Amino acid sequence: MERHALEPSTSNNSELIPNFQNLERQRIEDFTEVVPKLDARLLNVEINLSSKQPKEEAINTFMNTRIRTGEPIAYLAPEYHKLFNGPMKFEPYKSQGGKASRHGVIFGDLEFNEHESISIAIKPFQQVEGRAKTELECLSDYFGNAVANSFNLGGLEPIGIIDDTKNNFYSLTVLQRSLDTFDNIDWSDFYPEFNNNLGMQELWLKAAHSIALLHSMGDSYHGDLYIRNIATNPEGWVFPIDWELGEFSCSLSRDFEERYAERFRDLKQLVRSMSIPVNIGPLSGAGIFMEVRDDWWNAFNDIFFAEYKSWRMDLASHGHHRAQILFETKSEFDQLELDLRNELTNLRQEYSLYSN
Amino acid sequence: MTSHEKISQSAEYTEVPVSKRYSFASPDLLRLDVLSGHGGHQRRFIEYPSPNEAHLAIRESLISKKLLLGEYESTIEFFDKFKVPNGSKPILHGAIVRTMGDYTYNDMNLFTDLGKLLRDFGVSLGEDNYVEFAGNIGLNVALVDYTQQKERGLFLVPGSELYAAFSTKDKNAILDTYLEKLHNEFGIRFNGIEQSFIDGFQSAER
Repeated sequence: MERHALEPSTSNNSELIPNFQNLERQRIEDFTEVVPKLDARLLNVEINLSSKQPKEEAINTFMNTRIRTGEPIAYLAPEYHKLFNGPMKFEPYKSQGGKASRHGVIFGDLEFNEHESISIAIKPFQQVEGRAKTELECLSDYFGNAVANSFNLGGLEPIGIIDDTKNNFYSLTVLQRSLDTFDNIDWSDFYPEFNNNLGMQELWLKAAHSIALLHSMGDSYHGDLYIRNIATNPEGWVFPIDWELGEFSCSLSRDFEERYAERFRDLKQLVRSMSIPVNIGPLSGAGIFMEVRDDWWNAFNDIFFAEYKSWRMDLASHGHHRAQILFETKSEFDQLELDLRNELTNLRQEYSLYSN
Repeated sequence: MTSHEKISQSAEYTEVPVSKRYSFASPDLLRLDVLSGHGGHQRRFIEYPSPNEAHLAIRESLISKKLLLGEYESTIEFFDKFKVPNGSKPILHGAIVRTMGDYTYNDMNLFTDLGKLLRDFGVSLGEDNYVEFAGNIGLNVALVDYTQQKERGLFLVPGSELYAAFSTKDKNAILDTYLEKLHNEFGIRFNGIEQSFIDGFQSAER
């Protein structure tokens, strides 16, 4: 199997982050140091799925009931809280995965009760713009995953939140070792001969289903829909992960333009991370369209958009108020196609020189 | 438990092929790669026709050196079955990873380990019976991600012993063959880090 000859490069953003090696080591040292000092407390917040803003509601409930003792605290979900009744220890993993994370996610075994352990992913939130904002971002990550899980949208299993009382908060999820994100896959041979890569084509069709379902659910959106946040597993499931910036609501807001803006932003992020070549620094993408000589829109439509549209229209034609929803969805697609075509034209102008 | 596991837990016993991103299935070897079990408790198995004595000896050697993925499970109707980690995947489909870090398993680490793996494969029947790996390397070497610092992350896939070919070439000629093969299979991902593979191939422990 030959691959097209871009210059040697990386699809990982972290290569160009100054002192990535030191940052990674520091994050792991900070976390390893705080774990044995943790006081485990129960985090018991029910997710109200009928709420217009279930994530915000859960965050507010938590903020109103949390305790601060001045000592590092691990707020743990009930099923995990009962496990941790003694000193804990952290053993970090080395990995390929997660290196493109904005937050510098780390992985390892959390050991407890001497002989038991659980594999976890830890997303650090370090104070940059004040403690309250950092805490809110961490809570948004934790409850974003919890709500996505409750809606069966594919969030990672949340374990809890750690407040080290200094500058760091951590959001903990169960590490699913068998998950793989789309940025870990080499897409350089995928298009235009995508009919020869049925397994890869299937991944994108399933991604389209998954995102169409999300965008058909009231006011919901992901907010950070880069390919690093789309995951697959050996069973063939495909679903978005990392819901820190996501919103979920089964009820529609009155403002159609607001809904449009959020969905367009999701798709724009997706298009950008599909389009940008693998060798251009911190915003590197998958370079899927590098072999496409003509319009990149047609390629995007083939791979993703036609399926996404078909599912959205189908979902819009069911349920209450279907006439109005169908009308709105058709209008939305007229605008989406126009805006995404423009986006892809700009991306092609900007990046096609990187192709052969 | 993830939402997907919650859904699948209610399912009956199933046996399904592993998704292509992860699969080691090979029509050439009649090798199957399936997930089987009840709902959320699915285990992954690789099955293929039992090898002949020479290939079996190579496989035993790989198992004794802990270089083979998973564990032997059973032999039923001339098919050998191995239980393998659910998330193991062929190295061929992976994206480039050049990030440097104490806790990062990058392409330099991967190709160094690959060099060691192929060298160990070569001497699995002893120095006097050197065997060369004649199959597609990227589809027969598995990555198990998220490992402790001292743990191995790269393994030969059960059935890869069937690609062993006795070789009378000298070691440098075999190394050249592997380098060419890796360039063809991995393209730009292998560009610039050939030395990592060479270092691994020349430094492997016996």
